[in-house]
This record gives sequence, structure tokens and C-alpha cells, in this order.
Amino acid sequence: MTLFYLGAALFLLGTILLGLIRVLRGPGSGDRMLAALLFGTSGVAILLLLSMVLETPALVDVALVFALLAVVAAVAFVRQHGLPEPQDTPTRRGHHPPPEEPSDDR
Amino acid sequence: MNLLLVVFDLALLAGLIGVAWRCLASTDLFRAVVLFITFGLLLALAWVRLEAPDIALAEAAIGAGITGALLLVTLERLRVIIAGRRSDRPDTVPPDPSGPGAALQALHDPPPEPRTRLPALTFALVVGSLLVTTLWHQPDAAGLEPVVDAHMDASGVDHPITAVLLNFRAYDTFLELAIVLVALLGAWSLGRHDRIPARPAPGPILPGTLRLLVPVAVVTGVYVLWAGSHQPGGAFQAGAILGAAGILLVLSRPRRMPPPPGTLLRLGLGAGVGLFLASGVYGLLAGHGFLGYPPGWDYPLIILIEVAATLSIALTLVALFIAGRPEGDDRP
Repeated sequence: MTLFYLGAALFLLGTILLGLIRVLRGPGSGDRMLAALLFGTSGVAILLLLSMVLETPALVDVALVFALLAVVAAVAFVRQHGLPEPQDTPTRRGHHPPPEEPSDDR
Repeated sequence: MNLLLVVFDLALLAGLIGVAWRCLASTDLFRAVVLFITFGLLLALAWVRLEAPDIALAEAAIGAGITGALLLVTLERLRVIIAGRRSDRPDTVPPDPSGPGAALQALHDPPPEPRTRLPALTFALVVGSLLVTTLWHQPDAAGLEPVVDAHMDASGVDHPITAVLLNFRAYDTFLELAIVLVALLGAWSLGRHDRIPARPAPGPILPGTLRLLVPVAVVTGVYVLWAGSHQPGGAFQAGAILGAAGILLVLSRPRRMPPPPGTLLRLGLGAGVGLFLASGVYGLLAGHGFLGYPPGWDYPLIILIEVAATLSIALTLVALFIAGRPEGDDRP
């Protein structure tokens, strides 16, 4: 079973290395950021698998922290780059211009 | 099994070096930031493979939570500052090589090709051979692990890393806390903070995420702090997690954050260093040596210092992220 876990971890690491192509090529900043966020998810899975392989239960905590805090970079990205305009509703722009001030209220 | 582990390590190493290289060589700063976030993830995995889960935890909290957001916001601030300066002087079309236009160019243009790679190559070769020589002569010893293990019963905690950080080498940890505080004083001395540039993110996703995540992050931070006495965890990691939760709040409503009460903020920022110093001076006066604990009091004192340090580190990280003194805080 350990061998299977290790093989799965290696496979996931391979997907991260492959996904680097998206970070390097882009083309948009959204593509790059999304790839990095998906790396975070793979990283969580690798950490959980490694905690079984290496028999280190503390790695579960590392995975927990990773899963929890990957959101911070995503929120920072959304706040800096804004959300994409919905493409299939062109009429909405005329009726509801995007607010100039950020709507901080919920 | 062992062969697969070796393959895993080699792939990780190749990924680390490749990402570091592309990150440093990237001419697009946003791409460099994303590569740096990826580098943090791979680095945490490398710490795991080096059997250092404590550092992996710190790297996860700092690398995943704080550095990425800090760099992204800094990049956007840089753009805002440079664009603002440029619109002040629209007639300077040929950018003055030392002016702000040149800085904007540097955000987008590739740097000039170096004339020769010989100096860099020589430097890399010399440093590389020095490193290899050092590794070659490394004595095959277990380091200080046996010494620490032999004195664990005197430390008051069950986790060797915490024992080293807060008892055997408390001096280092004390100075580290002081450095974090001094870094914040340096940032504050540079002026009041600017607004964090933010665009609207309408919809229920952001507030909903926050409402779910911030409480979980606070609980996780307290858990990691508590876990530090018997397994990987501790004040720095917990402080980084709580700081990341604070940064999440700052990011989500940058213009709605009420300025914190100045006295309380300063008390919180200085609590870690202050309590550590007070305990150390007490130890000195009571005859246990500077930063020594009275017998039997080591566990409660370590926990108390760790709680205060966690609070200070979290507050300092958020304050460093905001950068600059809080508004309305210009008393002489």
C-alpha cells in the first residue's frame, strides 16, 4: 500500500511539473494564478500521501495549513485584478455599470 | 519503495531548481510572483523530505498565506504609483533613464542582455566548488540531536524543536522576536500607509469564504500553538497562520477596516518581546541566568511566552502587510 501512496505522490508531483507550462506560457494572469492555486491542491494531496508513506502524522497539519491559506493569495489576486466581466450578457453593462467604488459592504 | 523515493526527490529537486531559475530570469513580474508561490509549495515539500516538518509548517503558513498576497499587492501598488507619477507629467514621452517612466518600462521590458556570462559562470563555479568541498568534509555525526535528547526532561516540553527554541537557545528566539519588531518600526518610520489598491469583487463568494475561513484559521492557529509543546508547531507558525487570517480580513475590506486603538496595538506588538525580556530578567535576578526559567516553572512560562509571541507575530505580520503607521496616528 505504501508503494501505491508513493506512486500516487510521484504522479501528483509530475502533474505539478507539467502544470508549470501553464504558469510559464500564460497567456493571461488568470491562467497563471489558477495553475498556482491548483498546485496548492496537489500539494495538499502530496503532503497527505507523504504523511502515510513517511509515517509522520504531523504532515497532516502542514496540509491543513496549506489548504486553509492558499485562499489568501487567491483573494489578493481577485482584489488586485478584479473579476472578469460575464461575457454572455453584453446588455448588462449598459444597464448596470460596474460601481466605481469597491462595494465592501456585504 | 526506496527507488521511488529517490525518483520523487530528484523530481522535486529538478522542479525546485527549474522554478527558481525561471522565477529569477522572468521578465514579467506577475509571472515571477506566481512562480515564487509555486516555489514556496515545492520548498515546503522539500522540507518534508528533509524530515523538518516544523519548517515545512512555517513555510506553508508564510509561503502559501502571506508572501504571495504581499507580492501581489506590492506589484499592484508599484503599478499605481508609477502610473500616477506618469500621468502627472504626460509630456515626458521619451522616458528619462532615471525617471519613473524607466521604472514602468522595467516592469515590462526584458533587461538588456549581459555582454558576457563569464563573471557569473566563474562566480557560480567558485561558490559551487566551495559548497561541494564543505559537504565533502562534513563529519558524519548526528549533530546536536543526542545532546538535546539527553536534556529533554529538563526542558519542560515534549517537542525537541520547542525545547531548543524556547529553552536551550531562548536567546536566539528572543532576538528573532526583537528583529521582527524592529522591522515593523522601520516600516512605520517610513510614513503612514497608503491605501491598498483594490478592485470590486461583487457577489457573495468573497464574504461567504471569509465568514467560513477566518474562524477556522483562528482555531487552526491556536491548535498549532498548542501542538507546539509536543509535536511540530509553535509560536512562529501559529503567528503566521493568525497573521494570514488578519491579512485576509484586510484584503477583503481595505477601506472599511477601523483603525486599531493605538495603545492596545502597541501593547500587542510588544507583548512577545516584553514578556520574554521580563521572564529573562527575572531568571537573571533569581539566579538561573539570563533567560533561564525557575525549576518547575519552565512549562507554564514557555506557554505564556509562546502565547504572547504568537499574538505579537500575528499583529506584526498584518501591520507589515499594511505597511506604514495607522492613519490618525501622527502624535509627536
